Amino acid sequence: MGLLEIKNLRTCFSTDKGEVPAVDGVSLSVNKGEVVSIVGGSGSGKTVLGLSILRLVSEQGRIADGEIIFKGVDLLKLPLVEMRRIRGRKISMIFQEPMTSLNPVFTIGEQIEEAIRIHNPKISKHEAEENACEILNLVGIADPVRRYSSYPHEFSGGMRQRVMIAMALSCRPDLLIADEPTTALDVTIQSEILKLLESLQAKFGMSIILITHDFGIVAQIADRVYVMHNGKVVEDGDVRQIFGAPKDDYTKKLLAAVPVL
Amino acid sequence: MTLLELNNITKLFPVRRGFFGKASEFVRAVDGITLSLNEKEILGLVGESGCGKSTLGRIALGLMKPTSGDVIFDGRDISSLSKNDLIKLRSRMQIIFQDPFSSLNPRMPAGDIVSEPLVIHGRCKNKERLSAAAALLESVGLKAEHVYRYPHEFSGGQRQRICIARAIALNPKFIVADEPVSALDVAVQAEILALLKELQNKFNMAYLFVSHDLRVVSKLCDRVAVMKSGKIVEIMPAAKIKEAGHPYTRNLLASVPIADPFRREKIDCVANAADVC
Repeated sequence: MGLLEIKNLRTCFSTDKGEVPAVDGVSLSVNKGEVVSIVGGSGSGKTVLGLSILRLVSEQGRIADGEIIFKGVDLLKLPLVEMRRIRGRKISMIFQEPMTSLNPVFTIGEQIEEAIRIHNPKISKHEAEENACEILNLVGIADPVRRYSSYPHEFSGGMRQRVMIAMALSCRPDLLIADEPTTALDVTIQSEILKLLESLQAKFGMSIILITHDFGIVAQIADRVYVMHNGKVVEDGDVRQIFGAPKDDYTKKLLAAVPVL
Repeated sequence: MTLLELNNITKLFPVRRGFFGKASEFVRAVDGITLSLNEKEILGLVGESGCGKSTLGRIALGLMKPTSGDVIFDGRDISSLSKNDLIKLRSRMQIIFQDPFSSLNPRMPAGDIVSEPLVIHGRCKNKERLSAAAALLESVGLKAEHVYRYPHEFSGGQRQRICIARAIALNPKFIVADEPVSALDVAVQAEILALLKELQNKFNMAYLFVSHDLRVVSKLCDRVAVMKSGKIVEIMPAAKIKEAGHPYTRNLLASVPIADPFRREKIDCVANAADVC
């Protein structure tokens, strides 16, 4: 039994032309300590799939059908109060845009501390501060005590993404959903962030769902791959199998599109 | 033949301290760059964010004045031109931006967007505008009936095609493409690159292709210039990029994700070796 088991998930959005399924009957599983990658072009439904796991789909959308079984519990049947205990503490998510996901009027430290205290109400302010500094250090931010009171605009894109990762990992989740975590960054910063994710994954033994459109990144970090197209999984398998012998035409097209040096 | 020459271009941006503060310090965004671009050549400009590559692109088009240095386009120094002459010259140089979402007016239909340069430069009458727009859209792989659609009705890749159609409307000789594919997914990226290459062949244009992605640059360009903190550290034929000698370029090359899981372990070894030296 895996850590996360998704069965036949359907997430629909209501539009002028009726309901459109963004995720259309997707089944996937994630084992403990595994890096699973969801690959697809824009509009393939990969982000909606990630949001569905946390039940964070926007108001126009609804999860129409399926099961999301996390550690033996169907998340779709949980009351909202209990779902909130899962979010952030057991499963957390980082987004593509580190520029817009941080609040510009609070310091970096305050924001991480907030995440820690919301999920551990019993912890003292002092302890939360210490934890925040510790996690900043862990994601490779030099001089965390001083950086604690910096504002997001004083950080570069790569550093902001490190802060987002720090925040997501502050409660030591079992599963991290990373939605295009490096798309907005330069190649050099991208490779640093990927290395960071890999080392943190090894350290905490957590599982990662990495959502991306770039097979280059997939090849570097993923264990297993699901290829999505028009809301459906068209192919899945071990990363070596997908690269070595892709079966589906869409997978072949995506692989061929990756520019090589 | 040389189309564009940049001679010892420097651009300083003032840094103000406080609301009323005077500029006491300057950032050297571009620091003494000399570069030339031949006709029909695609020159790639690579570097990390903040290295000044977009600033250089804007200076090359005369959209920004350099603090010092000359920009010579087709034998004429563009800083010495009168306003009218500059407008005329602009019809021969165009730009494509990174973000196809913010560079199109949401209230204008696609047909008006792509034919506006023709109207501004008096190249077409109102009657012909629609047919000219349809022809332009078709030349970038869109359909003639798309002239009435608004930008929000197009996907990201299609929007970038509209931006390209607008840029080629006046048959320019020179286009600055400022990260034109960075906001697109890989499959769409490949299509847009193929389109840019095809149009360059067809209309004999030169591109200054600004990008941070070495993979894209090596595929499309004839020559590649690598920029770091406002300076060009290395310039070489794109085919030889893998043999680049400068440590900065080597570092960029090492960061490129390699789309081959079978080589993952090998890469780790190389990366560790790089850390050691």
